[in-house]
Amino acid sequence: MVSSKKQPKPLTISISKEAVTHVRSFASEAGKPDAHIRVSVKGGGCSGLTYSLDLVDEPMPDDKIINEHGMSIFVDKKSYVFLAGTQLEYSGGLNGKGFVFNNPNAKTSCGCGTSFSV
Amino acid sequence: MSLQKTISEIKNYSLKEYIALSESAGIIDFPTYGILKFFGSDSLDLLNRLSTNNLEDLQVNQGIQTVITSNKGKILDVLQIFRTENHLIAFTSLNNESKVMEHIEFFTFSEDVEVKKVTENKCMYKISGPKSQVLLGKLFTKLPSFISPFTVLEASINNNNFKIIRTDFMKQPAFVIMGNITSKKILDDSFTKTAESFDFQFVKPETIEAFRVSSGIPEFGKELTDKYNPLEGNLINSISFNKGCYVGQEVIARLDTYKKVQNTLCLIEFKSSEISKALPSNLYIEGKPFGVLTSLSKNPSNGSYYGLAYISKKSTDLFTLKNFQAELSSKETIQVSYIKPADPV
Repeated sequence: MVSSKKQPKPLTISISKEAVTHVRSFASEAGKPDAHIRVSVKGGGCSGLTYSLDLVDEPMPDDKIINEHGMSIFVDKKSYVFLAGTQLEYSGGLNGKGFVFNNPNAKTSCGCGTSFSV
Repeated sequence: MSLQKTISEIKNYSLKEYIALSESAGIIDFPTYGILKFFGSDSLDLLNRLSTNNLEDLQVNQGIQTVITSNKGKILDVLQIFRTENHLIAFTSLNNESKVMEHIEFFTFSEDVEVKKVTENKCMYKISGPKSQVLLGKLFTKLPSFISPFTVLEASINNNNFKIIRTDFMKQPAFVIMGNITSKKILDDSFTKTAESFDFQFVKPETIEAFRVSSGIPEFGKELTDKYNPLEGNLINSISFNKGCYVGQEVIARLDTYKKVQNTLCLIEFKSSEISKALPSNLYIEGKPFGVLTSLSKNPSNGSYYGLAYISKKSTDLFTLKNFQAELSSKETIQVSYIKPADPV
């Protein structure tokens, strides 16, 4: 008998094409057109944990490295625990919020959406 | 804690000690704080992100009181943080330093922060009372004539170095003297020598408790617990409302803005003396709950019993009543002289 149960997708961090386009745009403005991004979590923010995005050239030792749409995303191991499964997207337009973290681990978020709790 | 035990303890008070605290200077030589040291360039920034007060502008040799809160805005501990040239010193509540360390380590990701528990390596004395700085001047030479609250100074006795920190923890002038544990005897000897020319008292925990309760000062583990937020705990002076985000900020700002604080920390004076209920105990009037009694002690200077209690927002009309009867969870009745909001710490 063949099982119809789907295998769960491996938990990783993904980035949308639109988000990559905007990262490239910010990187060019910053004079670092070939930069990659570091995605991390910091303690603080109303809900306890805050997302952080930085343009960087190189990974740190022990970083997880995810490559998607020609962009490398570097994540330290402790942050990865809280970010696994997150989709980094970009919300533009008049009501847009900029970069948005769709994090399945987040149980609650603060009003501005930049911090979360697990 | 059983209230029966509290009653027997508070009958053991010393009037002389109480008067020293309120009129001269009382010495506290038993442990009252946990002590942590923070090393690393991100320590202040991390603590600023995890607590209620604004630590960003803290200068070397200055201190500040701040509250570590949960993401629901509840009290996890009240810290006094002092900046020195090379590190930060944090006084936690007694025996709570490991929990504070765990909390901080959970929120430490890539920051340059190292936390060490140093409680056992330090000796600490506290001096509290209106004449505490006069006493300090007799113990140490070359001190300035006035020391501002939350200032850190270095002083020495026979080449043994101590930190002197003004904390005013009892709503009156108060200082912490802290040195290495190996210097304790030097300080003991200095107190003995000073006793010949200055009338101070070493005070017992029961006397401190009586002074604390009758002064309306909340204590961690009794009034300040994770059931209450800093606004309820009278810690508004330890909250910055314009510093930006910290853990619990959104909840605390909303409670303040929309006047949604549910409980008021109050001082209660009782006429009753025979109470056997364990604390905390709910308080009732005619069967309807109106608050929670969290501390009880006897003021040795006037013989009255004082308690600290959280009174619910809908029962604040009790503040206008005098001499009424209330009940505890045990159905025991108590004669209340008055209830009034305690002053902020």
